[in-house]
Amino acid sequence: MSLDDIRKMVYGNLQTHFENAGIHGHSEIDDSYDMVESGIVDSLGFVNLMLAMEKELGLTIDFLTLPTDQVSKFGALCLFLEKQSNQ
Amino acid sequence: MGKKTLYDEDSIRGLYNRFLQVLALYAPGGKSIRARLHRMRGVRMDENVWVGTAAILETGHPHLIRIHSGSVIGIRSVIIAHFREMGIGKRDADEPTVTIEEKVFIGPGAIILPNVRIGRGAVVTAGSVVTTSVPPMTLVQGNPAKPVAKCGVPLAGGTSYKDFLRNLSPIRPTVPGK
Repeated sequence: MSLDDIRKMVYGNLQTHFENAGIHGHSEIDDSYDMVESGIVDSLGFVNLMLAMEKELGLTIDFLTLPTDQVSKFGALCLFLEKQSNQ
Repeated sequence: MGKKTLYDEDSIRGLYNRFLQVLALYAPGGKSIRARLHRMRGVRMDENVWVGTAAILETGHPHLIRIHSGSVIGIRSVIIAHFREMGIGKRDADEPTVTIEEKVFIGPGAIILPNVRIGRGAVVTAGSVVTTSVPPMTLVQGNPAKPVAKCGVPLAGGTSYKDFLRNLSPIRPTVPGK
């Protein structure tokens, strides 16, 4: 699965929240965009995103190999998921 | 002197408790003054517990609450340790009916009802209503609060929020037959 597909998927799962923040497409999101600090996800939103991505990608996600400061960054998270999906 | 029961509440002590509760609502110092005021009321609270502004910790019988070290009681959360109608007079009146173990995080506006034990390192999300006991290192959410994830690290006790998120493990829906 390509990185662009993953970005679309993550955006799609959180579309309402992104739109509420004035973002109307995955291409508008900078890699360094912080989804926690921007109010897109909280702990529950994060869990729901993990579950949704696990279902769509058919894998079990474990973020422990992702550095702490990267876990909420849109670009780093999508790249991590892309790598996981292609393993 | 007869054995104390829930219905023998001394009115002066009750007035004093309520006065301290009102002071504790908006006093500064979540770990210092507010926590001390609640201890003076009778809440059995270890050192190093943070109590948020406007938290209400069992108005009538604060001694029924036990809070262990390192826990965080969120702003405007409510802990109810008894209902007069529940018939808890059958229990030993000194036994805690709400126990919050070490490094528990109670989110803002959460409500904790009687006869629950919240396990070490658990997290109650904002606005949730806890009606049954919560296992250790578990994130619960909703009304009634249900487990949604296991916490790899406690949120209370100095963990950064992002590190907490990174260590979450969703409680995955079970597939029948598997």
